[in-house]
Amino acid sequence: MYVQHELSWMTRTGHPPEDMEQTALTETEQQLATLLARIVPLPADFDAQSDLIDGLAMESMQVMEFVMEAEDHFDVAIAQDKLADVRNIAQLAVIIEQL
Amino acid sequence: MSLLSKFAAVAQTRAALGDHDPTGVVMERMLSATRALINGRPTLLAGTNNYLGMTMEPAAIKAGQEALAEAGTGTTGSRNANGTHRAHKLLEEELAAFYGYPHAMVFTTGYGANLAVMSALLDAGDAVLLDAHAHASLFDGAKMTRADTYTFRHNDVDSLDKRLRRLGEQAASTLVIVEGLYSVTGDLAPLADIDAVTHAHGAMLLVDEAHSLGVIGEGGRGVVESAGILDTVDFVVGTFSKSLGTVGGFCVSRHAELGLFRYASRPYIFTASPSPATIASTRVALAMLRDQPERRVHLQRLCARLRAGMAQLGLPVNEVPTPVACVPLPNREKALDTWQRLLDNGLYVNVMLPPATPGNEAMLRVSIGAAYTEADVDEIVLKLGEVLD
Repeated sequence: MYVQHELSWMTRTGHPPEDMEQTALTETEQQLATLLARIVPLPADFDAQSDLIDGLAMESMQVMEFVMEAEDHFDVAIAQDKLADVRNIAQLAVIIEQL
Repeated sequence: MSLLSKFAAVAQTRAALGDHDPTGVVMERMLSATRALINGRPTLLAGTNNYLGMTMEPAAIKAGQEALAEAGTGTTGSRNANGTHRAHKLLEEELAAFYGYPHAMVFTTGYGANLAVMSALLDAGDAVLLDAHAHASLFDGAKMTRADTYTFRHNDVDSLDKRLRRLGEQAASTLVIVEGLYSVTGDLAPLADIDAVTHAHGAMLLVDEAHSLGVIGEGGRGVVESAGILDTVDFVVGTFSKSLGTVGGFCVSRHAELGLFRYASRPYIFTASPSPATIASTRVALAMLRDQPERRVHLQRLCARLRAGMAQLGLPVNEVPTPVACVPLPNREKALDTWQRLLDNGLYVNVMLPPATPGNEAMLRVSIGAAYTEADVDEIVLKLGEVLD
């Protein structure tokens, strides 16, 4: 699956390949996945629905770092209460697109 | 699912510690301000917050004993009910005078002070912007409010500036919160720059000086003093449980409205006030902190010695010597093993494990105070070197 290949590549390098095409991930999700890969290794089967806490075993400090990375990348402010129900990058992408 | 089922994960984490439970250390008997009997062995304490050695100060002990005899064991009530004795008011006046501010409030713990001040100050529509390495009590305080909560990168003024800009008009009702001296890593906040950026956006600044009161600043007023922002910082919060050697917390401010927080802060209103003995010992310790700069001078010499020793071991050190240093270790297993070996060798330090650590790293925390000698500091460095080789 192309998405899995692409994310595995990002896991190793921390950024996606330059010739990356649009895939099942939305543009915002792809950018979030790139940011996420700088903080935790992404498994081969990672997708937009992968659970950040249970699936990737992210600790709270890592989640905070990820959110700050996203804020700076998208130049937005994301209040913590908006994140209460966020479990994956698909949900985070929706919040960012609504800001 | 039972309410208790969540403790299965806690039990698993506890079981993984085996015999190395750093939360289970018992000080069987205090031998001095710097040593205790642990596991039957005299142990050098390099993991307390007794920065000025006040816990064993005879004058503070005597004042507490006298207050215990004269005013009883406790107040049995909150400050707004029957829990305000004359001594509580005197301590507030003395704290305000020490900082040169019109108002001070005393709380039962430092943790409670942060919750009380934040819950009084912040409401729906406001925002709070915390340094990412701020103490848990500050994040808990934010959760108690209905304010929007954000974080900025540790000690990164540019990160703070960006976030205040993004908040737009809400910046004018934003409280920026930092610590003066960070309790695990021992580094100082760049307070002059943080203060300038905060006020440039119309926000307010709260500085938690829990670990810097009595330690930093010519007069011991903390990093707000050494950074020259006493006239501009909005709120200073601190604790009695470190450099003052007792237990309790306080807030001082140049804003007259602090006097009204008593009527608007649930953690203040619904907590029993500090005991008379605690207040009496704290008043003596505060006077000594203020009048005995030699304690601070001696501590600064020891901090420089500790910093040099850590550097010789090849450990990372902070730019400014402080009583707190950290030893990063590759993982939690190594950290726990090193911590246990130090304890077995008569040295107590703190072990800090993810997820409660800055940068999600495993580390040891080493701290000293004014009651230590140069030989004590050398012993700390020597024992660290033995286990880190």
